[in-house]
Amino acid sequence: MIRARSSVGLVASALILAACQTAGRTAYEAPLRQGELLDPPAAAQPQQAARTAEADFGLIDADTIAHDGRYFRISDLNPGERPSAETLEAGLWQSMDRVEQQARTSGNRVDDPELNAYLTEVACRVAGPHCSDVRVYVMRVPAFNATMAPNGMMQVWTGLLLRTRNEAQLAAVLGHEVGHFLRQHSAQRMKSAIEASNFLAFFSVATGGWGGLAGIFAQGQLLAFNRDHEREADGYGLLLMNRSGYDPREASLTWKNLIRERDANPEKDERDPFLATHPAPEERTEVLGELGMAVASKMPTTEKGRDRFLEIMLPRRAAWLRDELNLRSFHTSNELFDILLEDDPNPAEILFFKGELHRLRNDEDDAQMALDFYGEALNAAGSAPSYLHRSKGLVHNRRGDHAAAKESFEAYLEASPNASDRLIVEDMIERLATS
Amino acid sequence: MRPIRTIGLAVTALLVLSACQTFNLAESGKPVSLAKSFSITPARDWNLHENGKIQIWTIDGPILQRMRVFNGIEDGKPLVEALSADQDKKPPVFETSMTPIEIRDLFVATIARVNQFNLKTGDLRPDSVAGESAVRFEYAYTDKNGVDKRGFVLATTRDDRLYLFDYEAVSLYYYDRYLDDAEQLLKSLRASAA
Repeated sequence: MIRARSSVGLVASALILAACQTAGRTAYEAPLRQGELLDPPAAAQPQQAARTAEADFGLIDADTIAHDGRYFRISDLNPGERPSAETLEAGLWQSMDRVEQQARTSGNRVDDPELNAYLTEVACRVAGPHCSDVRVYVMRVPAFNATMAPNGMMQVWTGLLLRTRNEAQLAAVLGHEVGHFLRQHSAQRMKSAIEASNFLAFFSVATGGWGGLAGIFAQGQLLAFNRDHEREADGYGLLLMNRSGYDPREASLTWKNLIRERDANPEKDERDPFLATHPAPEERTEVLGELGMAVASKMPTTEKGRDRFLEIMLPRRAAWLRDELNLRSFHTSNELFDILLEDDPNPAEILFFKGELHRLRNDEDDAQMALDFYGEALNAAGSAPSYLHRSKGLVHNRRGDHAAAKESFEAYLEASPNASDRLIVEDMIERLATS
Repeated sequence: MRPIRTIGLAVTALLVLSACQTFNLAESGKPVSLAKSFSITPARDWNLHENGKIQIWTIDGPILQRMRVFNGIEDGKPLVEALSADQDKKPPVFETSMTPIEIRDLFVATIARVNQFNLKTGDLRPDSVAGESAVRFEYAYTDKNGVDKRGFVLATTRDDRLYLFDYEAVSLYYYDRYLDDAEQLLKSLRASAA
């Protein structure tokens, strides 16, 4: 009994980490054919929207139970519902509660009340009556991802917040994750994993001594929700956007940009097991795009929520941009920064980080490119970080231009008189003056 | 897509930095050579693990407290050689022309490669090691298990190679308990004859 419980726990630990990045076409068609997307947005008629929500899920349920009825016992979740104690799902939920406790104290969790409150607000708006079932945790990881555990624990990575451009795009992702929860995809995966005798593979991953996020990545890859689950979750994402009044045409735009990032990397790894085993993101972009248009045409009003979103994200963004630099992925980061520049209210900050990419790569011509971008940043709208002058000084110093380096370091100390590296910079200025 | 590419290098680095290690006794009073450039003489017994250019000194075990020595990193090389195994992503590397600011950034970027993104660094200030000019800074972070860790880095270059000493311990009790022992190790550093 104990062994069975711990086995469930191990599989569960792995399942929580499921990445969700795939989609196909067929799963979307069912709700559209049945006219489920004709409901008015919740913002317009909140009472009615709350009543129709459960009907939406019920109708989709009728179309999509195709695997094994036994594992769909809690698929039609009522708000606040937990599986009864003697079920397989109960063990899974208990394990997830423990994992959630770890996530709550994990060092990579972003403990920022305002940011967490905002994400919870958006998640609640898309989750509707299931608001209190879903808990959002922001994790500081510079990659595009969000995960959903069967007990309602949702993790959103900062790399995703950096890449979404408005509240509707964020709502598309959160709605997708809520879809995984409402359909209890993790429970389905656990059961089919055990039945398919893949359990030993999961066991070895879960106990192989891989720590931290490396383990998360590996497990996420092995245990990604299957394609049908992703299609279904994307469909739910659009339904929930419709209900909550967000512009569903935004759902595909994030994917378009991710494709640009991927294609910008000339060294992209063709052996990437993710790309080898899943349909191309192009398919997802196309399907989400077409369906988003169809859904939007039936909505009386749609909202993007760009200003509200940026007001929360922009003051926090510099740390996430620095994390991106630490990846040392020049081409993908450069493409990301170009995408952000297309409509960013603070181009000075992005231009500075483009300069940083060149400074850190340090190939031929990169010193001049870095200086050019720093110059552009100083002339652009918005504000670049105060340590721009220090970076300029480092580039000049590397080129042997001592006078310019000294001038930049002095400008840095003037802009940041309480800088944590003041003593070192003063020391460098002194050396430059005598060299 | 990006997380998947991270697997290989992150796992490799973690194995290098934290997996099962064989420790030998570094006896009190007996000098230990660091890549022929320095020697270090402990004033008490330590446990010492060596793997390539990394040494790990510990008394109570590396999870609780340890001095990690990056031992003579050459120009163009990463602090952790295993990071080079990732063909898709270049690791942050040491360059002999680096300023103290860039050496600190190299350390922070290396730690980020093993998925610890929340390192907070303190004041960067000049110091010295065995008569060579050096740089020192403190840092702190909460690890994936929610344990608060504290540490400091002392770094210097000699013969165009980087020597970086990284003392880290659990903030509660262990950091202060062995801080003097860690400082003693650093004070015992002597430059070897060229």
